[in-house]
Amino acid sequence: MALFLTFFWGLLFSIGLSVSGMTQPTKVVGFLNFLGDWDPSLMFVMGGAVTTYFIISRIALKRSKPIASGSFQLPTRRDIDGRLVIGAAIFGAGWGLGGFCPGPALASLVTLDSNMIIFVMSMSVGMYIYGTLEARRAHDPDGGAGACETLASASTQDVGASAVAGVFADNVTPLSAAHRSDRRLPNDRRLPNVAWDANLKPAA
Amino acid sequence: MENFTPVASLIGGVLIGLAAVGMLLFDGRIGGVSGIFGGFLNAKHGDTAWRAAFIGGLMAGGLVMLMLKPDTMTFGIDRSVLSVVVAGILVGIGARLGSGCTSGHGVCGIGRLAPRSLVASAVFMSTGAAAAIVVGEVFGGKI
Repeated sequence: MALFLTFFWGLLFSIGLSVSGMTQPTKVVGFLNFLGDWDPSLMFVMGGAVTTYFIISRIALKRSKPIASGSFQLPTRRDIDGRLVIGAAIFGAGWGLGGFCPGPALASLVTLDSNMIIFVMSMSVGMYIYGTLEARRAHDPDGGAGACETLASASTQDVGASAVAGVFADNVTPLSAAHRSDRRLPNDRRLPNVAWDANLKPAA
Repeated sequence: MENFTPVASLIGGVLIGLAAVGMLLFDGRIGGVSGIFGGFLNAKHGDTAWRAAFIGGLMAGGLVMLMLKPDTMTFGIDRSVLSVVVAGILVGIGARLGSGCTSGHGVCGIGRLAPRSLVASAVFMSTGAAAAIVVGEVFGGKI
């Protein structure tokens, strides 16, 4: 039942992408290149999506747990680090160049258009390479402090924007700092980071 | 602005928002496509079924729209194979390194007013605009 629902959200998501015009790179590039024949449609897509999410997520997060699963699995980080900014910059460059982001690209795969297939394959290679490097760095002590982050992130980054910070924790269930750190279960990278550093430093 | 579609885009946006927030309300997860798909590629034990279900849904939705309104599923820009490959790799690596894409950061993150997502979205909108402007204005839209 839960899987069926997840399938349904994917379906609805992709219908939304298509209705809104996001499966047409022309419209994405037409928005991003505001010096050309500007197409502001993407602003309306974001406006509709963000407003809907903003309102309903407030209600959803008042619940103690989701309707069809045991707990909310939300990103808790709040710090802005280099990886976030550089990653977003690289992502944006690819998005502006190809007019595709991951959702529309996957939804468009069924057209069997060669551009869509090549894009999804390249994107998968990029993601796979990144994931493999991450896993390797996580197990390689020589990778230094940066590598430590990945211990936990490998398992949690997959929530999508695992980067997203804890508005949830602040607005919905105010907690003391100590209590909050207890709640940083697998989602938080900083906890293992500290332990890992502590183990490594004496050796160095 | 001859291609401007405010009504369809707003309706589509609301559907995207509903789907993303449905993931939150029912599954308790962030509906970020790059995270769901990236985690599927670098799969861990017992963590693939829901990802496959979501991705299957994305593709099924694409199929539905391809049958109902095929004109919404067209590539339509002039790009060489090399450009498409480079774009795909940049999107793949960047979305994972930056922990999210337009759905995870742009919709779910901004929708929760998460500071990391606000920053990430501002950054990828800026570099996206820069790339699109260079391609459009310097290379005449063909690269």
